[in-house]
Amino acid sequence: MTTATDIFVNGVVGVFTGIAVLYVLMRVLAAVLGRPAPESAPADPASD
Amino acid sequence: MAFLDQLGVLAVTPGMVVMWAIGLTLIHLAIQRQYEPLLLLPIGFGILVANLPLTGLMTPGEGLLWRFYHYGIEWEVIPPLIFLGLGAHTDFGPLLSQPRLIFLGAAAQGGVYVTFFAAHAFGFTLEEAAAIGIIGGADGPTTIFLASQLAPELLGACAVAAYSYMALVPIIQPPIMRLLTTEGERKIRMRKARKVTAREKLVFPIAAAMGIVLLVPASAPLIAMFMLGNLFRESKVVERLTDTAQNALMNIVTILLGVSVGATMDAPTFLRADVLFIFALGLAAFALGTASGVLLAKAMNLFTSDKINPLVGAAGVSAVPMAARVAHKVGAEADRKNYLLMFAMGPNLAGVIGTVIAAGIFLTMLR
Repeated sequence: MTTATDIFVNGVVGVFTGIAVLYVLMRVLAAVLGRPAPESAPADPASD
Repeated sequence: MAFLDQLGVLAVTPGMVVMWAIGLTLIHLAIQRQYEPLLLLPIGFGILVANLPLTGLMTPGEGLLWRFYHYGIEWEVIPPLIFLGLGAHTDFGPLLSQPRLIFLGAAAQGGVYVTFFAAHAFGFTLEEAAAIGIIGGADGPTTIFLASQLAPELLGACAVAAYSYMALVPIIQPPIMRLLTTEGERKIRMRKARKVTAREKLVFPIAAAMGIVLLVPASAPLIAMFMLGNLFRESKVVERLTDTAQNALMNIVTILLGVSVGATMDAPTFLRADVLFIFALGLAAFALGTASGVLLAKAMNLFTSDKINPLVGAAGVSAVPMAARVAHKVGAEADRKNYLLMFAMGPNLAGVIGTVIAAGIFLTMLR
């Protein structure tokens, strides 16, 4: 029989797992399809 | 005379009069105060007409409003169509540019589960407690979707509570946000997010739909439609469908949703002590959700040099885009040049997804 505690624990774990999956997904999409952030773009070569 | 026997006025009960007053109050709030008018206006009118005697509007199998309710809500048609429209309106760019903010949308679901637990401890069944807890997600269609499946007798109360609190976001959230943050935290300026490519936005709804539905299949009706609407938008090849989902279809289903939810609120169902309790618990869920998001943002700041303004955590309760606007406004009180709106939209969208996942888990375990 399902108890409130079961639902509470499953719910909290389930929501964070689902969100974590989306987080990883977004990271992968950014790595594969995104462009580098302005801060991490390679610096211009020194002109001197 | 048969005509006199059928006079509606002779069948009016005190409970009906109270429900008229409630319906008229919602109509007043919608028109005069602009509180969620798109929903509260049809809900208020639905309450009014459903509590007129001898109309048969909610007679099972016959009544017009019963048909709207049965085929629209009980058959799980209208809430997913609302999500189709929401998806077509949604730009996931703010979330994709700052993926870490998605966790704030999960944290805000803390209010849902704590309130679920509390409601059950106060004597509600597990199904009723789930329908009450989900009010904390501040997502009207999801609340209606879940309540209609698990606790139809509470549908009207839960829906009105959800939309009322969504309308009251600018009043409910700021005191909690100020209480849990320091002036310095409210002034934190977040680093400019990177620009998201069109390809990321295009692939995200497909990948997200698959990922979430594989994990929580019961969330499929809402998530699938949400992401389909977003795919319409981001594909840029089905402008007509995007436009229909955003406008005509959304407006039609909003009318049907509002009036049929209002029609479920007849006097015997609504005028119970339980309903006041539901409103109180719903408010607690909403407040806890706000607090959880803010507190998780503060906790995340302990482990990163790239600080998050904790105010954006409050936007994790959904209520798109009102909660994000409130985060921005409270931030601007501390630093007028701190533009938090786009940062707050990330947790705001994550909150929608988090609430749908929470509802899916409730359905998985209780249906």
